[in-house]
Amino acid sequence: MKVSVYGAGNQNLYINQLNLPEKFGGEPPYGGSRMAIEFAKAGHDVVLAEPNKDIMSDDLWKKVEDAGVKVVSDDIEAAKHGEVHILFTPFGKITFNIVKTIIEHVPENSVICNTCTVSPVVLYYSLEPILRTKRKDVGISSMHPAAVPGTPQHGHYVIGGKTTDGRELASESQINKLVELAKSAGKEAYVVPADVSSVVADMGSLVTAVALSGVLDYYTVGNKIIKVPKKMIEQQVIMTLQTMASLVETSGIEGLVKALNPELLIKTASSMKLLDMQKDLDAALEILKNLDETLKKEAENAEIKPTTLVAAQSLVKEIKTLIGGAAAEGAIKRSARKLFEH
Amino acid sequence: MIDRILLELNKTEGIKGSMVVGKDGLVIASQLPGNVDAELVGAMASAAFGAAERTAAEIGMGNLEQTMIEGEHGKTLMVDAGEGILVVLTDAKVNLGLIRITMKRAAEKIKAMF
Repeated sequence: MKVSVYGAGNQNLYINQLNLPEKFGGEPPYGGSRMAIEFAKAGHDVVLAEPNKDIMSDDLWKKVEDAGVKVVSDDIEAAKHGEVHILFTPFGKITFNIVKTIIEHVPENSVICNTCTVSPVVLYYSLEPILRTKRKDVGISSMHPAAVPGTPQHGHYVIGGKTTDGRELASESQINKLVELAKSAGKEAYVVPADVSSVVADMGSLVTAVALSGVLDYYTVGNKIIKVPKKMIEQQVIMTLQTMASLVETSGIEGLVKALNPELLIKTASSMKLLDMQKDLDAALEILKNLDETLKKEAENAEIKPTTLVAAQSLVKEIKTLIGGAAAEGAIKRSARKLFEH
Repeated sequence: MIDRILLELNKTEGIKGSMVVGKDGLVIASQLPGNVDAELVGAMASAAFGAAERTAAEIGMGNLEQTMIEGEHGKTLMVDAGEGILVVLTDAKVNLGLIRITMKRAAEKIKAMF
């Protein structure tokens, strides 16, 4: 298989800031360059595009080239090579710019994959004008390592399949190709809905894990102890998550902390400790009681900006009723692009 | 190809510009005056046409054929062009009959392209 990887990975971050060799093990280079090495060792024809040669030391570049990876500095050269294109590129607009540059040059039926810096759905929305007109053959998915490549934790890839509403951002054969690629490198392949992949694979999985644990805790307590209707539990979970998400969107983390008032929240949430097994709540209360002083100060000074609290899925249904499915879908895509692309 | 149809359409007296947008507001082709934000107008046109389409269906008027927004300084006409919407901006005082016929012909050609 011909594979193009974009971005060698920030080795200073991995080695000096995160101390991965001591903390997790494995050996440099980490990140995109390690992915490239592993694919090459699995017998694939791999090109790694990295315009910034200084991102790694010469000995690490030698490891990459010794593994049989061809290193180039030009993204377009890499674009012309691969049938699978993996973006191990920086967070923000730069990733969108790279993909907009390469898409017109990739061979027919190529698949372009995100890793940790962008959702495949947002990537698809961003490329849609080209995907629907000039490059209908190109698929969008995820080849998310869901751990830093090069560490022992990286034993799997998260691949974006059909979205939860049944849209195919990539064809079945393109998805199968990614599964095959992951397996050939000795990794487990998880195909999940494309709109869910970032939530379980990105660094935000920390939030997902803790929030899901809270949701399940309330589900157990609500069901078994308080014995409230399931509908009520679901509505309260929706209200909580939507409120928090909306506040983060308008007012940032500091605004969220100010609006939620940790002191008050500790008092209220303590009354929900109904079982010995609620270790997650114990841990959460402990964290809230010992909030970092800097964060407390920042929260005190934060501005809670105007926030419209909505039930997102109900709003989507309402908009579809008023302006029709296609127009509503367009509005949703544009809002997602505005929120995540820049 | 669609651009060529729009350029031809723009030669009609009173037409200031035209565009084709997907029903979701995605700009497929645009020949609008330089001071008009095509992406924004495309999004608005899809919302306006969609709302009119839903209203027509709710009232039992059947399929929507055309929508017109009439302003002090000009008109915006939108007609169904299959998977897309043909949008035309005109001066305030125009021969609407002529423009409608021209738009209908252009929409048929555009439909055949999708």
